[in-house]
Amino acid sequence: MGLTSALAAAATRRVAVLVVETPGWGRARCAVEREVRRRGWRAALCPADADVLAVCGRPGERMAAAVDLVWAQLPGPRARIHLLDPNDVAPALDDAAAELADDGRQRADAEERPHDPLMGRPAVDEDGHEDAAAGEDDEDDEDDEDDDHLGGNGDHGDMGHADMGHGDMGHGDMDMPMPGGIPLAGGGEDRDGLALDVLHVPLGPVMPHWPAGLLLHCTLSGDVVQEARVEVLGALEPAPPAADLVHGSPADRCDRAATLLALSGWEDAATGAARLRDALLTDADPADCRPVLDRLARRVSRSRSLRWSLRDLPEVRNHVLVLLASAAASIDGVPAPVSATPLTDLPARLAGRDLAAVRLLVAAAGLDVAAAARTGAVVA
Amino acid sequence: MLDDVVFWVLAAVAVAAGIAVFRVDSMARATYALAVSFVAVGLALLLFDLPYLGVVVVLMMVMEMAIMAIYMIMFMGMNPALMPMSMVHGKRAALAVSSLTFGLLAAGALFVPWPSRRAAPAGDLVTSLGQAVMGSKMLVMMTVSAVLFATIVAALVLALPRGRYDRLGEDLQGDDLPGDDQEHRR
Amino acid sequence: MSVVEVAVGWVPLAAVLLLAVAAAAAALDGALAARAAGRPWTAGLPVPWLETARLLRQRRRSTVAADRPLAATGRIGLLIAALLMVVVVPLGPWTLADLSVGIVWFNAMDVLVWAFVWLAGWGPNSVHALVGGYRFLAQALSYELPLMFALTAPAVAAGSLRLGDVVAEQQGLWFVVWMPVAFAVFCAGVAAFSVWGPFAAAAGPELAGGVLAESSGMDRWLVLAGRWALLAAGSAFAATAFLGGGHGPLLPAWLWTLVKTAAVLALLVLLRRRLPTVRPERLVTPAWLVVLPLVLLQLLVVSVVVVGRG
Repeated sequence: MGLTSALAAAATRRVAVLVVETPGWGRARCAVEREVRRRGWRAALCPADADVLAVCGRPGERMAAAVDLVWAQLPGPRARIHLLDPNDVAPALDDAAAELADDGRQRADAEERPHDPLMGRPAVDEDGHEDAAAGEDDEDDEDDEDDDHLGGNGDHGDMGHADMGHGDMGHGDMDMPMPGGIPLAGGGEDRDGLALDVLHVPLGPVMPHWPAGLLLHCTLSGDVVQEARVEVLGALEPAPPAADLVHGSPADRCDRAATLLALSGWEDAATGAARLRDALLTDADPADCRPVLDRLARRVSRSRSLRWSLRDLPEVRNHVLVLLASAAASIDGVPAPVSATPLTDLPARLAGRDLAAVRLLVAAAGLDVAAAARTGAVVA
Repeated sequence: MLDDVVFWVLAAVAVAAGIAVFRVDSMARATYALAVSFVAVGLALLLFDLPYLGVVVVLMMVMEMAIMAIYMIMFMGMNPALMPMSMVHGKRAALAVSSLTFGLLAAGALFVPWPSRRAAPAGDLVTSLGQAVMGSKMLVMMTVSAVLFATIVAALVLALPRGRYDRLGEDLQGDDLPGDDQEHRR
Repeated sequence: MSVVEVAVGWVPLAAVLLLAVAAAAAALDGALAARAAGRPWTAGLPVPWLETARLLRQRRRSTVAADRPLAATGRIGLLIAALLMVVVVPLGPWTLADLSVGIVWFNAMDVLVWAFVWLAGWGPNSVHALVGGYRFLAQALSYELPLMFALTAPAVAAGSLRLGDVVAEQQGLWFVVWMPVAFAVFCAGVAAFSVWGPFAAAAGPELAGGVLAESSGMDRWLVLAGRWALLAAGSAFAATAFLGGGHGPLLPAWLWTLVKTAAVLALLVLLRRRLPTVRPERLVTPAWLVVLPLVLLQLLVVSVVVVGRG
């Protein structure tokens, strides 16, 4: 048993945490990220990579369903924590580590779980549109190759699809083989004229470096997003704390810059921006952060490789620079304009871009999803 | 003795993987069954003291199969490639043609009076193979390969609907992109 | 210095050595990451061990309608390709197989990576993994030709595809001195076929892990270890083909090989922290329009020197 417990002890010294932010609980997420970094743990990129699922805030019904599905995808040993107050983060992570190290408990958990991977549920939005599986993201698989569920879900009532240009796929054809219950995808027009298969893939709402609560229903040809539809999955009543990560505050700007830098694969710069954000959220005097912020901004603006790699997405690099500059300005008390793309404008920006570019463009759009969730704005 | 064992194992793998190409029901598996078959043949060539040919067969065939994966989605889309499907079409004609070809080649291998070795193999097989295959035509071959390569690239450029003109504008001056204006203004 | 083949019994030791070098590189990377996060760099050193312990305990998972044999092949393949690469790389005076076509062998192994990464992306039947696999192929089409021509330069200079001859030819003057372009391109190619650092777009955060998105436990460990092992094997090859292998004063030849390998690895790891990921669609233009002609020029220079020398 000595070996097992030594392994458990070593394994729980570097825990991978998948953080889920409910719109309006940005501070709690930042607190988790900060504590994770302080302990030498790391953030997970996908459910398969995660040990701990840290849910920040009170997710609404549909968001909660998505979180449950992601929870089912954690390979285990796994632990789930629920955070409302940024001050509770450290003890909650301690509990999670203890739960992970508890072999007996993890074994019991594993025995309770279904052996085979779960099929995702179709993500139906307010208008009755339906996507291939669940509101959980991307990283699940089951649904990915899924398309128009020709009878696969026993659901022929999805008239919403007619507007996607392939309502004529022969929904009743049950002779078609369906590996794992996944039906054949249909072809469609696409950017490059290749007539690739069209897949419906939901992006979000649970995905690192992704705006909290945002659910993007994507129609993919290959890896090119042909069409996208935006939805916001909100929080449960009572409303989130008012004094959360305020859109346009210096900390928020650093947070957004950190996200963009992380997505562009520049780990060190992203860590630098995240540290600045945490310092701004906790420290008394933001002026102390100015020199560090300036250094980071200089480093980012001087990076030729970043400029070159993002040359066909110039708005992404510009946005990082603007974020860092405006964060500095607002620390100095100079009012900086808060730019935010309305959620309704997002789909037009994304059409014809590949999946990776979409991730960068969404992060660079400066969305205020929390506000949309608060006002309950119905989004097309 | 060891060589014999290795040869027969490789031969069995090559044939079995070759059969698998037509028996499996997924394009990805068929593609890589073919790759395995070729790799086994390439490794068998090592036993003939033809290391360069053997290794190049492995290199080229694996690369070719990887490229095949691109054509797979280009022509078939993603999902059909995942569907169980038959890997054979026009069974009867194909069967007739391939049996005939096999019979012909096998008969040739068995009945042609192969010359017996008259001298020891050259010390540097790669060089002598190059001489034997190319000989005085080396310059021609090298020119032709460059021309062929240029033809392939040119054909691709012509076939590509979203090529340079789409990305860089009519005058091919990429610097006129709207994004770069912002870049200069900074 | 002549290179001798050692008995097959040394293979396990070579594998252990390769993994040890790979782990050292990962530890250095962990230390640099810890420093960037504001922690003492020593806290990052055990990262490879802790991550290994974590993944050893983690359960494997599968996905609906996954092609498990193909996924397994792809995942285990990277490590195997790395091991097969070092078979021909001499450690000082010893080598496992002194193939007469060692350089082509290495090249063939790095092409195997194309297949393995794609299979690892295809197998899970998941969008992000699949897109990751195809992104790698797009990247491979950009880096492979410059890499091949960079590999050709030392072969032309030595007049042989045998790595032992390449090392022997560098007695006195390392190839890196008169073929720096080939060396730089080769190092970039090593990072690229290792799906690592600036060339990790196939497994990047913008694809939620890409080819890694669905693997956990030992499956994941195999891919991660395979990537580091490929990087280590590529560095060892670079040290051999361009930095003189075992040539050097004072130290024994085997130690020189290790020191040079470590130096190339450390350089790559240090550089990586300063660079963002290169998006594969951006790579093809400079790779074919700038790097490829440069490498060909380098090759021309090398050929002219060789012909001139007689």
